[in-house]
Order: sequence, then C-alpha cells, then structure tokens
Amino acid sequence: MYFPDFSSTLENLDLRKTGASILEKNLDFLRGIYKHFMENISPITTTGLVLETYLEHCTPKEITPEMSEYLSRMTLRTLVGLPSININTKKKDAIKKLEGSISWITKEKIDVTEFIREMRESE
Amino acid sequence: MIKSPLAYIDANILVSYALGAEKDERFHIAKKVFEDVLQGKYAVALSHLVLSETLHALRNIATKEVFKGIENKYTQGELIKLANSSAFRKKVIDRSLEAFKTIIECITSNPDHFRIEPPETHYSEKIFSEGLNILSRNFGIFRVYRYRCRKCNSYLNCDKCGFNCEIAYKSINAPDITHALISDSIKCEYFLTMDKYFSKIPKEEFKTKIIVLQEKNAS
Repeated sequence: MYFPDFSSTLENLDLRKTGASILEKNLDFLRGIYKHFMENISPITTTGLVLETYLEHCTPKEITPEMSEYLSRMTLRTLVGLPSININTKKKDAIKKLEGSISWITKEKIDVTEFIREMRESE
Repeated sequence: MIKSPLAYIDANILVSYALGAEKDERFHIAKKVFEDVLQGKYAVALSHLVLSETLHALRNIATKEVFKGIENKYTQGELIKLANSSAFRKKVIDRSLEAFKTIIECITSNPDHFRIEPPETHYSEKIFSEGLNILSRNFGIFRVYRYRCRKCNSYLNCDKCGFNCEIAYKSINAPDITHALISDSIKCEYFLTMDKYFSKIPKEEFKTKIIVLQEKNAS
C-alpha cells in the first residue's frame, strides 16, 4: 500500500502533539487531503496548520498495526533528533549495522549485564 | 510485516550487541539472539522501559569513561568543580546521545526485525500488584563482595574499621518483574535476558517463556 512521504510536512508540526491524531485517522482520508493541500496550498507551514485543523474535526477510525508501529518509530526518531522515514522503510541490514555500532563509547571491555544489574539494584 | 513470534529483549542483550565483540564480555551470547532474528526465529520486541534503561546505561558508561580519562591528581573539591562544569556535562551528553541515536536509527529502520511497543499501550495497576505479589513470595541470596576502587578497580581496605568487603542482598527486583510482566502484556512468546538472576524468577507466574541465556559451560 502506498503511503505519501509526510517528512516535509512533519518537520513543521510537533509530532508528539499531532502524531497520534494523524494516525487515528483513516489512510484514505489522509491521502486525499494530503494531495489536495500539496496541489493547492503553500507555503508548507500553512499546509501543516490546515492539515492539523482538519484532523482535529474528523472521526477517529481504526489504527492498523502498521500505522501504530510507524508512529512508535517516528516518535522515537523525533525524540533523538533523527530525520523522518517513510512507513515502508525496511533496511534489511539494520541488525548488521547495530552490531558493534557503539564500541567507541568505551575503551575498556565491560560486562554490561552486570552493569545493568547494578543499575537496577540501585533504583 | 513478517509474522515471527515476538521475543522481548532485555536491555543487556541490546546494549551488549551494540557494544560489540571487543567491548562486552557476553557479546557472543547476544549475537546468537540476533542471528536467530535474521533467520526468522523471532522478531525483537522492545519496550520503552528497555529503551529508558539503555539510555541510562549509556549515560553511566559515558560518565565512567570520561571519569577514567581524568588525571590522578584531583582532590574531592576539584572533582566536584569539574563534575559541575559544562564541559564535563557536554562530553557525557554528547557521547551517550550519539550512541543512543545510533541504536534508535537501527531499531527504527526495519519493522520486520524490530517491533517497538505501541504508543497507545496501557498497563493496568494490576502489573504492579502482581509484581509485588511475586516479589513478596520470593527471597534472593546474600553475596560477599570485596571493596574496589571505582577508577582503577583495585581492591581496597577501609583505613578506619579495617573491613575490605561487605554483605549484599542479590535478587530479582521490581524493574526485572516489570519487564517480564510487560512482556506478558504485549503478548511476547519469549523473554530473553543474559542476567542470571532471572533464573530465580518463578517462571510459572508468567505466560511469556523466560529464557536466561548463559555460557554453555555455566551452571
């Protein structure tokens, strides 16, 4: 299923405030208004404001697992300042990239399991 | 989205794998988990609690690393001044955030392998009452530890009382139980951890299958 890339729109919105609202709506509805706004309204900040206002007045519909998963990922990325990604993004090498990706954070070998155990016990 | 069984991954597995073979002692155990994920044996389920602990662990690691890099001639007063400086704070924030961002970049870019706990998930107060119930019926063990220097790891003796070790209570704790109960709530088939204290958890209390991953020759 095609989903438009909202990255430019999202840059002008507070995702945490509006993300839940956006994904509570129906995808077909989103596609329609997105297309209409992109063709008829500019600049993009105005598009964002109008989109937000429209969404506040529409009826919430079922959230698909894919939409919910996408919102979780987008919220996390926004939290740490990473750029938005398309809902269809699937980087197959993500696991390989994760392996040893933060080795630079320490010079010495550590036992992170024991480290986290101590952390939990001091909570 | 591929429908593999969900495995809740404890923070120790996530951080160990991201640290790599040269930096974490149990990396090879964590690596096996991710090899199984690549083979479709299960998909990784990550809770916000695990991610919070991951961030906290990275901040602690970064703090220790920056501390260890300090020359050995500071008094306590000088160390307090240094710890309160914006330069020290910035170093720790930059290192830990950069590492956390790297992990988030990886786990958010393939939903087939990594599933983040849905943002609309609600947990009942029952989780905590169940947790208290389990903790109250289980008692841990006592261990004796030698005092060690936090900087160079050498053994220490107290100049005043002469003691060089202490008795400590070791057991599964509220965060451990909460992880296992979240794993239950988000319907994970497995709960995977490298923390040996989970072997003491009463597994029959949980729907999720708790698996403690250890060295093959470990008891």
